[in-house]
Amino acid sequence: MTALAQVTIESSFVGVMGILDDDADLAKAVRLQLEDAGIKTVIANLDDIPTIERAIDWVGSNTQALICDVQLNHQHGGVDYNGAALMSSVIDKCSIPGVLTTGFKDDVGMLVRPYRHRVPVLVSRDETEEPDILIAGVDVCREEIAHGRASNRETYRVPLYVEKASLADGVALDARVGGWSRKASIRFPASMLGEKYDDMAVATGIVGRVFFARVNLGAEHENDLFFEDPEPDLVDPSDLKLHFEADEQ
Amino acid sequence: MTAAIHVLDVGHGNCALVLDDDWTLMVDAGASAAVVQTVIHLKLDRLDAVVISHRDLDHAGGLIPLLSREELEIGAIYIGADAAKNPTAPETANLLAALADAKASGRCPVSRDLDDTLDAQALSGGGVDVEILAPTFQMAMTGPRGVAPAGGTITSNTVSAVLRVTLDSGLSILLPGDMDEIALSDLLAKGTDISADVLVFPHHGSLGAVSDERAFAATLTAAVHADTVLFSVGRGSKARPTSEVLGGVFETDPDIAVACTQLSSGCLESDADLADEITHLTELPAAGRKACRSCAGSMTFGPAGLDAPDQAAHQSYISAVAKTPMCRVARPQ
Repeated sequence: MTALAQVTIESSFVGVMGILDDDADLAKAVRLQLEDAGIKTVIANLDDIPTIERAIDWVGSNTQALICDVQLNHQHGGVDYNGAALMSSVIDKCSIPGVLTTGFKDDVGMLVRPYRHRVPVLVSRDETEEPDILIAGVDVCREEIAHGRASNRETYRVPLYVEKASLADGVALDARVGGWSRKASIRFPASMLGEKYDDMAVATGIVGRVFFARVNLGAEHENDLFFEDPEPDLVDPSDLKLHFEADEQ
Repeated sequence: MTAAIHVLDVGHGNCALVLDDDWTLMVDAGASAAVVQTVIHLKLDRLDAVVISHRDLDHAGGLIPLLSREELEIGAIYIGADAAKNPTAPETANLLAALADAKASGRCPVSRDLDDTLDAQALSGGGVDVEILAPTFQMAMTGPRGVAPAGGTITSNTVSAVLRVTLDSGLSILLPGDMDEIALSDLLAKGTDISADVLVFPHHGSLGAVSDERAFAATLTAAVHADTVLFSVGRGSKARPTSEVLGGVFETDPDIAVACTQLSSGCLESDADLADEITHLTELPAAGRKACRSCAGSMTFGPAGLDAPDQAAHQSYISAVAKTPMCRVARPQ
């Protein structure tokens, strides 16, 4: 999901990488891969960290980097947060770098997109078999924490056209990003535009409207796209003529 | 600095950047990152004018990224109206929203006044002189879906702005957007001089809606009488320029120089046979550079004509990579 194969930062990672996954077997597999690469690891016991606050404390106290799955409730249950929310908080509050992993492409829109502005690295489950990718991802995240976003994550104010509203783990919107690939839409929770849109009837009412937000236009893949600072005024394209006709009066 | 013209490799689309010390003009902004990358590469902090020949995305799709660069000052955008474009289609809605926002916020003026009655001084400055040859006022006012004065249905391509840009060195380049045969016939019927040293061939060298591509290309080549014809093409499954278009060009002028921004599939069918690296390209951004899909790539014209890329190196590249180079195969021996 990321072009980490092209990353040339020389890793200087020292410390312990924490691993959070609701699939114990997969967590162990990641641990083996990393330890074979000379990285110390610790696997979190999800029973001990049922809330995001406890999880943040655990990461801050026990690790210097985090490898975290998006879904933490599929096989385990009992935690009240997902991996994207945790990773975002850990980066923001603890300045601890990490890599988010997912085995479900559908998670990207609804679960990851709201946090993607803070989470620079998302890799597929398959890529977790490559310790080099995980280590490079940690380095990329650490670089962003220390020095700010890379050019492909800088954001620019552009219009987004709302194409569709649907129910998928909550109210979802699909939007076409102006100035990016014209063929792809991005999915995100309607609540990212404001809590009132977390209602199917209200969300349906803005299909066909345009809103402005800051988007990382340099993203190569749809999964890497995020937006921030959405503007509350939605534009009806059929009203745009008013702007142009004003000149003719 | 003497004025120069960069014709950029934006894949399937168009973008030309005309600049000297005192004036910067962009004509078309195809939907490619190479447009903004070039602005950054050249350290431009202002575009005095941006002309979008017509509203197709391969000519206008790069406007939104340009407008989103808040540090880039834009003097004015000129873009014609187009009733054939559904304003509620996603891409069009986004483009119109961006333009309306730019205008309403004071980011830059946006004008639909783009026809042969516009005072071309608005587009000219420094060592850059611009003439607006088309669309005619009548054609623009009728607009797409209307009927042309001499018959035929006007399309988005028919109302493409046709600009002739002349540098202080005397070099001239014709930028006709996607001009079609109705527009060409209209120009020629009026006796308009469309001659230029360099022609960027309309519609990327493939005019599907034209009844006789070869005749169109021959007529256009004869009327422009250029030394060099450029094709701004993306390397796709369809070979562009078409052999019919090249046939018409060479039938009129067997010695005319030809260059394409990207390597046509008509010259090399399989991507597997592309070069591993291309060394002759200019330093300007080019959409086809990374995947080695460029042929001439982005080009620069100065007082003496084509400055870059180096023509000998470009020809060596064609010899080495293109299995059926159309710029040679289609040329009469």
